[in-house]
Amino acid sequence: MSRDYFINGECMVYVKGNSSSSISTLTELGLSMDQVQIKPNFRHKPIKVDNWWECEPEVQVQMQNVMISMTLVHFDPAVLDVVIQESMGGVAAPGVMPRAGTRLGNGLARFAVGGGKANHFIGLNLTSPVASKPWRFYHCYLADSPYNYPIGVERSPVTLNFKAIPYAPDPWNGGSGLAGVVIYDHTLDS
Amino acid sequence: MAFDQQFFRDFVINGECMVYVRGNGALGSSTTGDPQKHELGLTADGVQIYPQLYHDPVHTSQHGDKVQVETRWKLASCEVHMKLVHFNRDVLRACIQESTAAPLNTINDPDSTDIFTDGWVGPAGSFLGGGKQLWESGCHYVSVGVTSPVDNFPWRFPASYLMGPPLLYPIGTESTVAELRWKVIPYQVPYQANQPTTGPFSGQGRVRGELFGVNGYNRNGELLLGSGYLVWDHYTLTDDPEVIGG
Repeated sequence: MSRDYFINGECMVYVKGNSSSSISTLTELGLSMDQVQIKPNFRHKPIKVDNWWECEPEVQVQMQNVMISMTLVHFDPAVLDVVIQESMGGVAAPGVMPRAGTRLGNGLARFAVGGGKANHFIGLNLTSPVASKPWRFYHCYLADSPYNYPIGVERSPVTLNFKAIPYAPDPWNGGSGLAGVVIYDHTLDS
Repeated sequence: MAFDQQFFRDFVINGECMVYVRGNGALGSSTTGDPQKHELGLTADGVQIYPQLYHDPVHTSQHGDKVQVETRWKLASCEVHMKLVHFNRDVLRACIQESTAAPLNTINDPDSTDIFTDGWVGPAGSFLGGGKQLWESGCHYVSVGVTSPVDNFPWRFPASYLMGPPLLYPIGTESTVAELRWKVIPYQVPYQANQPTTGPFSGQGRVRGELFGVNGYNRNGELLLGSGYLVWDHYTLTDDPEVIGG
């Protein structure tokens, strides 16, 4: 490999949801006004040893989650509504509350539906037409302060904050635990 | 312990703890009556193991009443604390049922289809072991196993029961984290004058109470140790009732 400027290119944001949602196939969400920000959050837990006082002789590490922020300027509001609904646990319409404590994954595989429940995590895809290094976040939801939706006579640039987590239907994962669980890769959903 | 082996210092990282249980009764097969092993579940923050070692001081008047001259060993028990967050509720109910010596069938509610009777408690004074071999029908002790996928140093507690408080089962909109406290004792069946005809030591002659090779005898009646009572070991809780030592 050689050094060069890294230019991703025009980034189209795609989303995909479970088979009972209206985004069950890879669906365009929209184009962002400026760069999409991808921020992984590592968690390093130090192991304390008295000989080393406050220094860390060793750490245990985990990639806790990834925050993906974007400001959409040319987007499909109907698709955004579905994303909001799924992030709320699959409610019937945006603005409707789910039952308190509703789960997003429900112990189901990605995009699965079963037993009257569905996996409401969203697959978030970011294209990379120049660098050919797209991003696919397997299990996302709009999180924390999920969106800022300004309205007025000007066009509305909507700021979205997605969180991607390492979800698995069974946290035991056949004895492997978190090992092998994918938060993101560089292949787009189909 | 033989120190001709090399032991190295390192951070001890157990890895992900899956808690398994094994027993008869509510945990056993309803068709064959055999003991069964079940996944109980995953914990919210690991498993806390509290060995409880009991010693009695021996005093003499020459040494006064403050400083002991000798110490007598008075056996040990163990407590195992855990907070289950991803668990099999029915297996937990069965463990509660066995720990309370509850009846096996819904004899007081014959119209119910619920096969577990947690909440019904056995008669006061019931023995959990009842003179039975571990995992034999009528023995209510539950074996608890904790895995160690990173350190490869599992823990097995052969004769355990749930005690409380706390035995906490919070319910609400948040995910229930069931807080359990197991008591582990060195259970043994009483001395048997004749050959046992059931259990893992059937047909093995006149043996003292044996359980996983305690009292120095293994399942073939061969002498293993000079003496000892088993509270815990580091074998895997297996499915095979005849396999001792994992």
